[in-house]
Amino acid sequence: MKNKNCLSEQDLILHYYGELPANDERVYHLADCPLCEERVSALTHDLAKLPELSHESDFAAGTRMAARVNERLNKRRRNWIPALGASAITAFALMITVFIWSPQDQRVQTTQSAPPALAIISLNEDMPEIDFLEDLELLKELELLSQIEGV
Amino acid sequence: MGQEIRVPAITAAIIDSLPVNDYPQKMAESHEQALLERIRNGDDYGFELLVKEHTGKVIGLAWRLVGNREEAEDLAQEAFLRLHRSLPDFRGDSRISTWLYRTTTRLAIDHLRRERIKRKLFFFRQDNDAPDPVDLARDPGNDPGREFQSQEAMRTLRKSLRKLSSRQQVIFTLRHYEGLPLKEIAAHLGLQTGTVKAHLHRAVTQLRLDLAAYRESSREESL
Ligand SMILES: [Zn+2]
Repeated sequence: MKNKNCLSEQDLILHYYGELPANDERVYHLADCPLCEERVSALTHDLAKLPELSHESDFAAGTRMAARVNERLNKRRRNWIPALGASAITAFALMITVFIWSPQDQRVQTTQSAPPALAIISLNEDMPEIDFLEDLELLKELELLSQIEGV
Repeated sequence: MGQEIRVPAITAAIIDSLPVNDYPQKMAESHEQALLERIRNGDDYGFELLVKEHTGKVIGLAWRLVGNREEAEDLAQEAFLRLHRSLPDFRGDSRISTWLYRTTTRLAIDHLRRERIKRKLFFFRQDNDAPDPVDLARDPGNDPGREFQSQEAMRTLRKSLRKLSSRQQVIFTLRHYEGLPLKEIAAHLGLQTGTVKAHLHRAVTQLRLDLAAYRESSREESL
């Protein structure tokens, strides 16, 4: 019969994975309790039935991956130049507009502020394009779903 | 008369202080440092070498975590791209393999989370008899080792893993299949060890229930 020292299911699992210290009192209990011993062997039996997930990488996988990564890096570098151009034009137009419309005493301060082009470029660089858009789309859908479900 | 070979005292001290098993690790570390130096000096081939060296392990880990070869390769690619972005800040306080392991694991959790949301939305829109989109995306035909494993057992395992939260699934895979200690898993995922233990417990309990149900249904079919 189970007694108060019998291990919880979580502790049995920790024992199975060798996550209990050897001098732990729960380990001593296991050595003396036929019931817990039986529970451990049932757990061992179940987990031993799980299929293996052995992965064999083919010889050319590294070369293919290096080519894929390289292609993405080159694409990113290529996208930088138009982004830089567009950002610089936008920034220049913005500065001109601000300069024309701002009052005289604020002109010096405006023209001395950090170039906005840099901020725009770093945003573009940090943005994981597809994942970001996919997440946005999913978020919209999830919001819709939770509204309908009343979650 | 043979001359006695004298080892300089300093060299002898260094050799004595290194456990024999540390040699491969020390060599790997210095090789890694040399590669990083090449990359920092603008040698693109250095990064290519780095990718080639780590691809097998990264794809293997990603495949065990997400169960699909194509998705595993996409995750690996993303991990390498992030590594490339992080290289200028790489101080050498952690090994590249550790960094990649951690990043791939986190990317896999995000991926599995998105996959669960997609499935939830799909079943909300369709009737429940429609095939699971994730089942359609799986590639059991590409599972290495299929000759030796029962496809059905693999399918049951994958199906059961999908019932877990993405975090539970990853924690179970890292502990059971990767043999990673819970403390390290906690460090990789930025969680408390107690939380990791609780997730592992729930994962194992769910898997055992599903496997028992699967065995029961197989027994009934065979009668
Ligand atoms: Zn007991």
